[in-house]
Amino acid sequence: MICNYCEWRCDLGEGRPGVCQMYIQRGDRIEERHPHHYTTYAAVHIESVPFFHAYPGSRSLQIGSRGCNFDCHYCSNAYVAKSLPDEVYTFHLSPERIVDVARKTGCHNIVFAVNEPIVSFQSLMELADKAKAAGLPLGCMTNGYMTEEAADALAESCAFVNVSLKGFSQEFYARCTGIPDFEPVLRNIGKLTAKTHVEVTTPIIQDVNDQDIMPIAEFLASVNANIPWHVFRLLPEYKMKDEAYPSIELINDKLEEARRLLPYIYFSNFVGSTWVSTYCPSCGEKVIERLNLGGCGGKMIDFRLDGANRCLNCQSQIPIQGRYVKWNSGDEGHELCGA
Amino acid sequence: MNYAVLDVREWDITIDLERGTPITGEIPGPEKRRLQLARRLIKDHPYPGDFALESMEWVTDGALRLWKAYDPTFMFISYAQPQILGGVVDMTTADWRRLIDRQFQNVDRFLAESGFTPIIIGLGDLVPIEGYVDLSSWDSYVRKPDRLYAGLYGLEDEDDFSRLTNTPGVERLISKEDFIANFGAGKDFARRLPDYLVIAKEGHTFKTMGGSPRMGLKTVARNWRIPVYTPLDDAIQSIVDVNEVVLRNAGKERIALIVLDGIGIEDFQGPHELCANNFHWYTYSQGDDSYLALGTGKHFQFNDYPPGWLSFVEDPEDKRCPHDGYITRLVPDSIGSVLRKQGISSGAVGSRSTFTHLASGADICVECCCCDLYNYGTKAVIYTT
Repeated sequence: MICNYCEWRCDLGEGRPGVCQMYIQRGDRIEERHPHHYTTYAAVHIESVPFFHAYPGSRSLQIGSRGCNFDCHYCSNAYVAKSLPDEVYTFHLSPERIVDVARKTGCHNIVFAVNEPIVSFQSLMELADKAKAAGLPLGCMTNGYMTEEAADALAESCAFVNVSLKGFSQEFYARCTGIPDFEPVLRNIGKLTAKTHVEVTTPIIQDVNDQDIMPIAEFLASVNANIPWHVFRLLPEYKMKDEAYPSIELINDKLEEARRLLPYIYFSNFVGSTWVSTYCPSCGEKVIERLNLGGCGGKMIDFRLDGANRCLNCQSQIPIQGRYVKWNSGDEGHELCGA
Repeated sequence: MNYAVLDVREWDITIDLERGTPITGEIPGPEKRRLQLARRLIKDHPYPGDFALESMEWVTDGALRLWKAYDPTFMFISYAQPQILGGVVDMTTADWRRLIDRQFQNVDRFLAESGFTPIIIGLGDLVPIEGYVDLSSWDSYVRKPDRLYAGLYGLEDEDDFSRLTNTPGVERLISKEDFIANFGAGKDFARRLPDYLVIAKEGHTFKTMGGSPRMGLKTVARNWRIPVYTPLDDAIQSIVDVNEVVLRNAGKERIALIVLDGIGIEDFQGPHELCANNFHWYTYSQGDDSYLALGTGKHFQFNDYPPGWLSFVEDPEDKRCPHDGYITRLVPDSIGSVLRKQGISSGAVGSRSTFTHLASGADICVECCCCDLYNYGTKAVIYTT
């Protein structure tokens, strides 16, 4: 049988597990080999995932499984994403238990990150149903290399999605991620943006994909200029751990031109970054202030929009999914945190 | 104001340590000089990374550079590589012996070149992980890098209590009420203490909410005694005695407190005595508990942060010290802050990230900027208070 979750469309007959090694054919069904098994769950700031324009200030229950359908040479989570089942510890957490943990720990939403959710898609969809019933928005980080049917299902289930667009050339994608065609990623950014909140992330490797900055900005602007774009300074990890650290000044110079096309460009993945706050495109006021504490995104330290997400200075609308919530507002009434 | 410089190679920024925000105004003269010195030092001396053996030389070279440039009377130096590498990298016995030899060669080199009088303490051994205790079906929490202890919440059912007590790898449970009644606790520690503390048997560690997805090979031993060496006459009977010995002697001679993570009685080289590494059944776990015990001279329950504490709850937008992880305030009675009030200068270099400046409180601290073994760069902290 052909697996129709991602664009590898692996033939899973005769016990073959496919590229991600997470599915198997049983009878006339494609099933997850390790349903509802997770390697991590923790309460985090939604901005750290990163989502900068969704439910600002909220506490997310971040979950992740194992496995991936890419083989990115610089993967920072290879110990989870590229591990074999016996190389990593997993928890069995039913959808009900995840929702229970989220509520008890005052989380406002749930986000699947750490590794690629498409490799645990059945578990994710079951979780989506339970989270929806509990009134908890669900989000995820994905590389976007999924089939159209999976993208439709993901858009239906997730209130916020961050798609990693890793470059803008077939040569780069083939060499650094191992996939034969990156057009599905572009297609799915369009599909997802039409139906749900989308942010995009691009890790920049100097002299490898920094020339893609403008083409990516032009592509995103053609889809929706309000898409928040997170540009990461790559930390050399995994198969690229001996590479040089990319120059912040050089990358930021290239981003200057892109900022004319996209008002919400963020540059992070290095501690202390001063490019993680949101400025009103109309009046230039800093409307959401964040710090980068190391790692992907940031932590919000000030929010200066009104209840309808408008700039307090000029009343311009800032595109935000959901409303600002206080970090501890979900604790009230919950036994773990509410004491 | 206290400052930090964050250097990520080819780019740096100076921030207000307690607010986390960039410094925009003019920095006063004496502080500016120290800041410039520290900034230059970390720019020229980037941290190689937690997985790099050269990080041991990074500590030694950094300590020598800081000593030559600033001439502090007290130095706090910590080496984390034996614990980090021993915990997650598969090594042969011969590899481990070479690592330990290299560690002690670094200590010897620093002392030979600088002439400081040492207090060298090994924080304890590592032991192979025999098994994980999965607490995910209970409302529970571990706070990285806790390994021996977890917090448990809302355990009311007698069957659950019995089942958990009999779980392989669990040594005991103690309730918050019993803990405080028996051992006392500082105000913040008591407020943060979980309903129950779960204590692992040696060789076991917890898997539940808040922990790292990384798999380990070894974990910290439950050492009741750890090795300590000093040529000073003062007796060190417990990990909490070190602080007082430093304070008593720092005005008389140049003292270097050298902290060796992951090294216990098994691997300590050279003459040494043994000191207590426990408070009743609690053995220090080479985390903030050990470092703050050294830094303040107080047992763990009189510092602020209990194991298993739901630390994320106290991380709102206006949390103090945002770059210091779960730490909510600078340590008011650290060694360096006490010495500063006496006009005695201090410096620190360490590869145990924020613990270096929190425990030492030294005038100038140089440390790695790492989280969960990711190398984000190099940090310098300049204390003025």
